[in-house]
Amino acid sequence: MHGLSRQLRVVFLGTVLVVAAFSTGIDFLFFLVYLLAGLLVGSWYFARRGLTGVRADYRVMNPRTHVGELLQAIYRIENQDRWAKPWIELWNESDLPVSLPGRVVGVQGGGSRQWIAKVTLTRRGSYRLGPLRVRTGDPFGFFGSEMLVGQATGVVVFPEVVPLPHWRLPPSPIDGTTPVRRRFEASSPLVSTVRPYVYGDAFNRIHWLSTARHGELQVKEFDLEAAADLWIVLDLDRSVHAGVGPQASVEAAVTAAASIAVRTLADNRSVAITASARRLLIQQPDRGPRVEQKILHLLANVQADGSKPLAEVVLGTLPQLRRGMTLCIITGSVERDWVRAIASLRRRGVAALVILLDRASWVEREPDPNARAELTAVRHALAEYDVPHRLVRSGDDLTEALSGRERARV
Amino acid sequence: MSSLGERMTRPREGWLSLTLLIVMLLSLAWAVQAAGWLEKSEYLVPIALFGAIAGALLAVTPLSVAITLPVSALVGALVLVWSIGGEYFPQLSQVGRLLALRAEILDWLVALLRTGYPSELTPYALGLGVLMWTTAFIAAYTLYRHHRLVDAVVLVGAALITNMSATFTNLFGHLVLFVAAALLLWLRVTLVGRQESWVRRRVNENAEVPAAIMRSGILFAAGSIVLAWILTSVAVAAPLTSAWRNLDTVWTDLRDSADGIFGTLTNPDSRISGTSFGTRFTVTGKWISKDDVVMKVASTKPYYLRTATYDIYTGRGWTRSDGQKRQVKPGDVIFPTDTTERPIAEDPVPETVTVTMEKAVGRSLFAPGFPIQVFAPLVVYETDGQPLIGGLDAANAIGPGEGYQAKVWISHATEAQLSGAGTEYPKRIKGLYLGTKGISVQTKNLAVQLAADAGATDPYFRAKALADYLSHDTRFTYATDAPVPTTPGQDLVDFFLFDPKGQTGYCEYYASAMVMMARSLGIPARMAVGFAPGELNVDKTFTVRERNAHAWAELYFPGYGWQIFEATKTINPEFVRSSGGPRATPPPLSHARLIDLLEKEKRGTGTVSSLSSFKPLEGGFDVTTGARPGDQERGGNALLIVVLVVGALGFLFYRLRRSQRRWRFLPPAERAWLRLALAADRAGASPRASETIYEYSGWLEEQIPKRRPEIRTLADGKVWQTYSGRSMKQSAIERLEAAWRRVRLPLMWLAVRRRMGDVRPRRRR
Repeated sequence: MHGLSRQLRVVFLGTVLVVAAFSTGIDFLFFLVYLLAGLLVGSWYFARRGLTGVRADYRVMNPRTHVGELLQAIYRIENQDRWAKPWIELWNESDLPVSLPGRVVGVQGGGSRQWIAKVTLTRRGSYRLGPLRVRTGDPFGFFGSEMLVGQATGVVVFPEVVPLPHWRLPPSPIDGTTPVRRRFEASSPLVSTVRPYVYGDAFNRIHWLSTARHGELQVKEFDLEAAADLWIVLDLDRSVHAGVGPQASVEAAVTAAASIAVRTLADNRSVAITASARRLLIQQPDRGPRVEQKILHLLANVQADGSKPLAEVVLGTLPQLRRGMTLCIITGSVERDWVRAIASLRRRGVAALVILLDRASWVEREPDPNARAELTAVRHALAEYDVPHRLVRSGDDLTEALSGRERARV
Repeated sequence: MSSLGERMTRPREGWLSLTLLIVMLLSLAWAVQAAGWLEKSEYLVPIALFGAIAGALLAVTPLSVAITLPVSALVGALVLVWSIGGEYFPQLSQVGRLLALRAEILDWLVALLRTGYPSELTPYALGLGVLMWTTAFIAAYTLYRHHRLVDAVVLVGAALITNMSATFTNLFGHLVLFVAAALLLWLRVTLVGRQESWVRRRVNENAEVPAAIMRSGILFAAGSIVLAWILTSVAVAAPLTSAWRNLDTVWTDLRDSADGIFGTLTNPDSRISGTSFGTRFTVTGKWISKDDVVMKVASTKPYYLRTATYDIYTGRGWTRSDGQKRQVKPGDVIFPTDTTERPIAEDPVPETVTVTMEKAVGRSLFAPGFPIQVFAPLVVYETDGQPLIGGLDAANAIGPGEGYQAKVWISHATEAQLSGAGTEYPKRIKGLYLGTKGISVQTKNLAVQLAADAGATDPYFRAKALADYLSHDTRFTYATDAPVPTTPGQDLVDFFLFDPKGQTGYCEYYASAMVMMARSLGIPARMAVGFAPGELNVDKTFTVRERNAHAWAELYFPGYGWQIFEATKTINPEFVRSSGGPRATPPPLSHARLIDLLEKEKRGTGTVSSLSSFKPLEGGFDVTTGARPGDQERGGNALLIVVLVVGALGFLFYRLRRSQRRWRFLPPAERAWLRLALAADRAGASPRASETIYEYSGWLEEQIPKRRPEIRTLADGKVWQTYSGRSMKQSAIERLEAAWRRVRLPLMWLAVRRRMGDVRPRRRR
């Protein structure tokens, strides 16, 4: 009997009682038979009637939001029946790490209820919030009724975006005097100074007011401290990441990528991204809020499941980089071959910045003693090629770490 | 995992559940007490209480079963000794109670092994106590450790039902109390399970929800109990009884085999055994005599009502030779062949007596004289497998208010006839009813002396001399509380007749002495038990009370069968044998005479003495009216069925009217389409919101290809009605109606196929 469900046991018990009652004619056995029959029939009707005249609905108020923020949904239930409903259970099945809380309510005949359900989002990703399940049953738990209301809703949880008030892109290694053949939507307004004309200067850079004042041709020099565009390369090779769940290094990498992208887009610059996940995901450079949504959507769904070495990714990305761009590599790789690959960028007028994740700090077990040496070697290599980098360790405040203002740790 | 302290203070089911479980167990304890299996059974209540508490406490602790069970056994033993010892040996200390219980159990075992008839009651009390403790402990443990509500309810309920099934005592109130507590417990545990599920699925409950569920559940349960009560009072029947008839012999075998062990438990209301009318009995020295009315008897004269006879004297009681049990259908002749029970020397003058039981005495069926037919399902115990009455039982327990009729042949042999009956006893009679094993020489000598003193030369007068001696000699005293032999091996009859400490007794003493002395004189004799004639009422019927329960001697006379000899002092035989008539030895039974007698026995019912309130027991019938039991119930059932059918029809009519009202003002095509959609919805094939009418009808046509034109007609009608804005012609309406009628059944079939899982329901988009 242990494995039998409660309903099956009741049916078995009822059968025994019916046979015993009709075999003996003993009145109290008939009492039990009638009681059981009454309970079963009544329960069935109770459960069946439980959802008659019930209307329910729900609406997710913010289907796209960030990790750490609240997901909110408005629920409404209305009982158009004359009978009160002692309990009606409403909830959505979902694959959210922490689902939206359901609710059990009693609704008077002709009455209605409305409430807001909230849940703090803890993991980025794309989730499915199933249709609203409305369930009730009889008080004894024999029968239940259920209906599905509405349709499934997609919820995208973007990665956390940390504020980067001190963030500055590295200056581009060009002086701004070289004519750029590419058509820019907006010319740089950052004229820093003028100088005498030399052969080869572009005529359109001549500053006529200064020429008149000095009596000789003067050309403008532009201050290109910040590069025009940003190309982020997010290394999602599984071998360079460590940790699990929200504390994994890939989460820090994604958060860093999202924060840098949002900050740069906020400066009205174009941002592109290459993520070397299982498939190579590329978002071409563009600017504006739509791009932000695209990049965040991409970052919401990536995992550290790639297998392509960073050097290969960087080499594949290099042809797409234009002068004046800044390449931002976010990686935990301690291989040095990719450092050599970006060394050539300076000559092409492409700035580079490396967000280097200290993978060993995410390893829960005793870290590899060679890891620190390898990391130091990479940092040395980056310094050798004058490539600025930011080191991010587990538990670091990303705002500080990405701004390069973190206290140096030995 | 919550901490031990939290589990102890706030177990999953809550302590209110334990209270409800205790109420269930108390209803069981009170029901066992009320059934009266033991005179003293107050101890069951504390045992139930402590058993439940111990079970719940041990269940919430993290102890393993290997530790829990011994602890439970130890605590249970202490509680049993304290409670049972306190009731049976109140004057003793706890250690004294333990020793007294131990001594009684040992005595009981020794008596069971030596004689088979122990008289100590504390072992039974202990057994009941152990059962109660086990039930209470397991129920609470199961509920609190394994959270198995159904098992706990079924365990206690099964014990209660077993107790109720074994007795005719009305325990309905106890059952209602049990059911009410069980339903409340069910409600509560279900609610707890639901709340756990809600917490697990992050479903928050509003504060008013638990109270609302409990409130609606209590109302629902109360309504169900009242409804069940009403239905029970109008509709009870047992149409399956005959299906179990073949198992009845098995049951009676089981009952008889346990009779030796449980024979001491004399519960007069027991369904499963009678009042000492089993296959054996032991003279215990106490005769419980009450004034409760046992039965009403309608007969032409006051008769001794026999239910069992015994042929083997055990020295302390009587038993019956192994024989066979034979089932006799209602109205069939019990002995359709030659039997020494039949008084063949007389002309049969049958009469039919009617008996209605006012109080249950198990299955024992009582009949006077030579029973020819019983108009109820009967089980005859034939001594030694011979056609001899060893016992008469009804196939089913006879409850209060039920009765039966028996056609009997009463011998009217005169003293002269019996005196001349001779001593040509049949071989089977001599083999069974002349045994004098265990009888002392002085008993035999006394019998010979008494016969000689009376100058009797024939068996009748010699037996009469013995009966006169026992019933009139001043040395013997009648008492219902009499001494029994205390010396091991001492014979009861010898003790009664000669021991100065004896010579006091009741009917079993006198009858045993009479039978054994008659046998020592060579007269076949047997012990018979049943009821002596009761009081004569004004309506010429007889009221038989418990105090009329009796044992008497029956002596065999060739040609005249078994004749009653009353030897008990203070019992005045209600019959007087006339002394006249020829004194002649009856001729041996010829074949022609036997055929003649059998024909006469089968013919008619003789004089029927009936009772005004006679209700045949299950399977029997009334010979005067032919009425069978259950006729009234069947009437009640028919009434109930009519009420249910009318109710169901009324409900259907109401639903139909509602739907018609709803659709009355719809255009015909709209109405037909709506019907189609609703019927399809029941079949799990409702239209999707995104589908056009033709898309949906196309899909439906694929499901029911045979009704493709009809479905298309309905769809066309719907489209036409929706977009034309004109009224539909009558011929078109009729076509729509016809199409709907033709498509209705296939849709119902589609719904059935869906229920059977043959068709997958259409998924909503």
